[in-house]
Amino acid sequence: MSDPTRREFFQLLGAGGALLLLPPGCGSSGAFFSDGERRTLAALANAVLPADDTPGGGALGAVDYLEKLLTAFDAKVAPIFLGGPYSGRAPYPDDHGGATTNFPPAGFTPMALDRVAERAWRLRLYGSKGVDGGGPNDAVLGPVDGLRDTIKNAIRQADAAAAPMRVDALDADALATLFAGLDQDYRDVLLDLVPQAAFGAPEYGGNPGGAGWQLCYFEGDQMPLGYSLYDTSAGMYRERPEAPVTTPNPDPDPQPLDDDTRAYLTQLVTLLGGKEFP
Amino acid sequence: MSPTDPVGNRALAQFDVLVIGSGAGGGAAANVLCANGLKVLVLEAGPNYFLGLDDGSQTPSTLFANDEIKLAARNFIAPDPIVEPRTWRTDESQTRTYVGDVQGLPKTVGGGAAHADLKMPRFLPTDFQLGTLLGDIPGASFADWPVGYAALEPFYAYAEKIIGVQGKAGAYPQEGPRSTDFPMPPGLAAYFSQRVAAGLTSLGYTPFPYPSAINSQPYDGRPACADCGFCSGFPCPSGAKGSPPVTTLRRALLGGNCLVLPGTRATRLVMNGNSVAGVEAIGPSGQTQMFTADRYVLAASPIEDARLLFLSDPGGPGVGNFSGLVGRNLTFHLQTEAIGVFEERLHGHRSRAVDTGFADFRGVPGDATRPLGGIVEISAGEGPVAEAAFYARVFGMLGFDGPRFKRLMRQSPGRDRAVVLVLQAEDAPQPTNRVDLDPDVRDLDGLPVARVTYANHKFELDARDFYSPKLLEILGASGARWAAIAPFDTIPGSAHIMGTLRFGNDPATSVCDAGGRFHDVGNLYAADGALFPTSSGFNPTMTIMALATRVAAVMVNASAPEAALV
Repeated sequence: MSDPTRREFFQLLGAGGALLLLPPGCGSSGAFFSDGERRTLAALANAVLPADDTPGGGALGAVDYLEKLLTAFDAKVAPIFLGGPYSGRAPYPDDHGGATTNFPPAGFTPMALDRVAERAWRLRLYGSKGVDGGGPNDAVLGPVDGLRDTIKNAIRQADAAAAPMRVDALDADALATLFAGLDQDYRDVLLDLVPQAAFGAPEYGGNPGGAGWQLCYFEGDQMPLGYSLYDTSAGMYRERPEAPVTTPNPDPDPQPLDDDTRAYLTQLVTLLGGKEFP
Repeated sequence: MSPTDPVGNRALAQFDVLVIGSGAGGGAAANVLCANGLKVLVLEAGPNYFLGLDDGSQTPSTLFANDEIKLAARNFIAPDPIVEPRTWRTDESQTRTYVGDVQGLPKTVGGGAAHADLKMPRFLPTDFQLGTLLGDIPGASFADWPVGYAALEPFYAYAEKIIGVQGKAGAYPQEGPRSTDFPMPPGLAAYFSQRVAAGLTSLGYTPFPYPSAINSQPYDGRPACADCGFCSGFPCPSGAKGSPPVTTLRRALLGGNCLVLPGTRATRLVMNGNSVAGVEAIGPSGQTQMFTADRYVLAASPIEDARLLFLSDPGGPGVGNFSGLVGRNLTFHLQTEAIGVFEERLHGHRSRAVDTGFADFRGVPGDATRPLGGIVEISAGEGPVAEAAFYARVFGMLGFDGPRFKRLMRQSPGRDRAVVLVLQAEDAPQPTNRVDLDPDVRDLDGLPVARVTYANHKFELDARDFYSPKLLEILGASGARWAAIAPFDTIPGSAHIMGTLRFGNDPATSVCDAGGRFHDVGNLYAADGALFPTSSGFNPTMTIMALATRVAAVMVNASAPEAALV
């Protein structure tokens, strides 16, 4: 399929098309969190994905990701859904399966929401109290809690639990204990959103420079290059030697399973009534 | 342009047929109707994320992408349960036990066939005769189809050609006779699937290339698959998948006889006696509109089809419900997932979601030593956001541990070293498994949402118990070090939804006739999985397309429907 022309993209994206000119990670309306809240939130992200010899959840962009999401409706075009078909990170292939130096336009830019999505995301972010008419089922199910409030309340609870110390001053064990003591709803939402920040496309505000993908040895989005190309002149597929489809990886395993993980997997399959094979 | 702008011939003002839904069934029906000169209006509840579908001078582009956030985490095309929930209960004594996502299929131009990885096996000849072959089973309502494999075969062949299916004819012994070969040969077999295929062969099973509507070579102006890995749940950014917008629907649009209105949610069939006089719908800006045609086709998926019939008759039994069976005999597939973890990295994120399967666990109707399961898909891990969510579920069982989470993401037992065998299994139809309207819960427009009442029958639970140990044995023979059956989901997530408007020859025991027309509404048809009397144990999309093609062909030429296959 062909790429949309630049003009078509601007038509689709409305004024948000201007964000095409900004580098990945920019475009956040920001200013939702205070400096102190940012520090606490980054520390909680580190409780989810601790820093070691690789970046933790904080350095992997959790705060920027969340701020961009929670302030989405401050932007002219809410950056809830980004477009396509390509990010512009991977090049077009040549006729024989190799990478060219020709890259498609960066298409991961905000798209206008339709009526249904706009209603859903305003409810999700602001809750019933922040949306005219509230949620469709408030009378039956109770009002919807907004994610903006939920995150702020999680930060407040963490700050209160750490006082008089700052959350970001806690050592790793104390931070883990504090995280375990948060309300289940707060832990669940952080366990959901921090990995999204770390391992989602960088244009959403996290995963700076693809650091999260590098951490987990994931190549990220690869279109339009892909991992194979059908060479029409030869009537056969070409694969990328460094990242094959049909054969084992050519390089040594960068991070083999360790004994702790093996024991954990044994524990898990035992719990599920599964099997461990010699 | 906007994703809710009309697509197609905007000059059309009068329509022969109005189709509700633009997915596998709606697209296939529109294609045949338009190809035979009928003017067709398609109402699609969701937006259109394709550019140039109605422009023959260019190949279409799309706003879909390799993007886990919007597609896997943010309900880009899935109904958002915060404004479009469904409800769930397991028996009639309850009001509901759950509110949220219940088998929500995407709402977008292309429907559930836009994001699927389009695994396209045909059903087996015996799948159409289970009423006869199984006899009476207490609590179940197996029935023969009024259209058998032989009658459907030309429509399978036609649909396979239009959408472009890769596969290998005769690859497994139960397969029905084919009048044509697959349009394309199989594509690459990924490393992980080769490992499992070797294990299967060592145990005497028969792995085969999984039929799928993904181009293994350039086909019909669309490119070959590049094995990007964002496959199941991700609409194709290149057009290599033969999803309806770039195949059936585009064909209809380019012919000039079709208009698609995205973002237009059908809310009521307006009746005039025993005929449909129009469809009331809510448009993109929230305004209510009326649309008319001579004939009407439901193709919004089985749950939404039934919901619309009930919404159209407030306080009554529902439109077209002379039989009392509208909404009943809802089936899914009971999916059993066996997860294997290898010591080795298998890089399953670099290929189609599924390229190999086996049908040895389909069983034999009536043979207690070989219960009716279904086809088994060999799949692997995809993206890291989904991987993290998988570990979060594990932590729900074993407790959260941050450093371990980090190690798991780096060592990747749940993605880069994982294989998942997915057994689709025949889901016994039961009249008590049904769709109705929730008495209290509403969507964003204030309309009652669908309530699903569903409980598994012993029939499919026995099959799960029978085949689960064999699935683990296969993973062990393939080289997995650890293997387990994933915990049972109380609310299925198969996205294989069938029944609710079963078709048959007897108006007392079926909702629609053999041509897909409602027995008691003269100008109303169904053209999707809602017609299925039974679920088979094979992915339903190919049969949905073949059947919808046949329904449309009968509408065009009832005495010689094959003549409509142009």
